[in-house]
Amino acid sequence: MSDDARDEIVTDYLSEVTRLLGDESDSDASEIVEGLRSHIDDALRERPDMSVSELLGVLRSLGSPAAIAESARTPSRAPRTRSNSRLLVAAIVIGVAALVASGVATAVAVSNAPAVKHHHGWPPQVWDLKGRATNDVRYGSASFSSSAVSATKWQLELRLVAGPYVHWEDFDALPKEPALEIVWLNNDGTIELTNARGMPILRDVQPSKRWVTKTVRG
Amino acid sequence: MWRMEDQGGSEIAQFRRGVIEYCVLALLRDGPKYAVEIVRQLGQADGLVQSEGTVYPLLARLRRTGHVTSYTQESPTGPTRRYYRITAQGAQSLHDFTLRWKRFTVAVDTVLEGAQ
Repeated sequence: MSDDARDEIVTDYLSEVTRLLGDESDSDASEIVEGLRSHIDDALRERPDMSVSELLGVLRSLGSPAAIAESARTPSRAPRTRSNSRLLVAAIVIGVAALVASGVATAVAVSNAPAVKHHHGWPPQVWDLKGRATNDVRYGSASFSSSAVSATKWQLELRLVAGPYVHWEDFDALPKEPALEIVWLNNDGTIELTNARGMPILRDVQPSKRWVTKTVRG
Repeated sequence: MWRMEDQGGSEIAQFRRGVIEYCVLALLRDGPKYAVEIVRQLGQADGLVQSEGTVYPLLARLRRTGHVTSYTQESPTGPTRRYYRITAQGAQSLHDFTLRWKRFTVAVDTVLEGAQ
C-alpha cells in the first residue's frame, strides 16, 4: 500500500474524529487527536508494509469516531478534590477567623469578669448531680442545700450566708411539677431553674441585697 | 432470556466506564507512561477496553480534572511522545477507590457465591 493511500485513510479517520469533537475544548480535542495519530503512527512504524485491511483493523481497534466522541462527552467518574493551594487558602482563612473570634471572646470575658467576680464569685457553680449528692453547693458566699421529699418531690433550700436577696415571689410562679431539679447560676449573676429534662422553669432571676432561708416544695 | 443477557452486557459496559479511569491511574502508579503504552496495557486486560481509541478522551479528562499531568518528550526511535504522570490528587482518588472496590467485590462475591 502506498504512503498516500495510508495517509488518506488516516487523515479521513482523524478528520471525522475532529469534526465530532467540535463541542470539546480545543486543548482536549487536539490532545485526543494527537494521541490517536501517535497510536496509528506507532502501528505503522512497527509494520511498514501494512496492508489496507490491516490498517483498517488498527482503526477498528481504536473504535469509530462516534464512539471516541461519545467517550469525550462522558463526565469524569473520578471525584474532583480541592487542590493543595485551595486547601492552604482555606486553612489560612479558618486560622485568621479563629484568632479574631478568640480575641473577641477574650475581650468580652475581660470586660464582664470584674463585675461578676466582685459580686458573685468566679466561676459560678451549678447545682448538678454531684451537688445533689452532697446536698450542698456553694455559690460565692452563699450556699444551697436540698433534700428529697420523695422520689418525685424535692425541696430546694436557699440559705443565707451573705449576699444578695432572691425575691420568692418569683418562685411562686413555678409550675407544680415534681421536676425542680437543677439550679443554673449563670455567668451574668442571674439564676435559672430547669427541670430534669433541661426545660427552663424560671429564667433571669436577679439576686438583690440579701439572702433569706426559704423552702420551695415541688 | 435474551433480554436478560442484553441487559447484562449493558450493565457490564456501564460498569466498565465506571472503573476504567481508576485502571488508568493504577497503571501510572509506578511512574509516567506515554499514551500508547497505557492504551496497549489496558487493551491486554481481557474485556476492559472495547475500543482503544476511547482511552484518549479519558486521558484528556483526567488531565483536565487534575488527576494526571502530561508532558511531551522526544522519543529516541520516533516522534515526540506525550507522557502522563499521576498527581497527588489522582493517587488519593485511586487509594480511596481501591478501598471501596475491595469492600464492594467482597460483598458481591459473598452474595453471588451464596446464591449458587
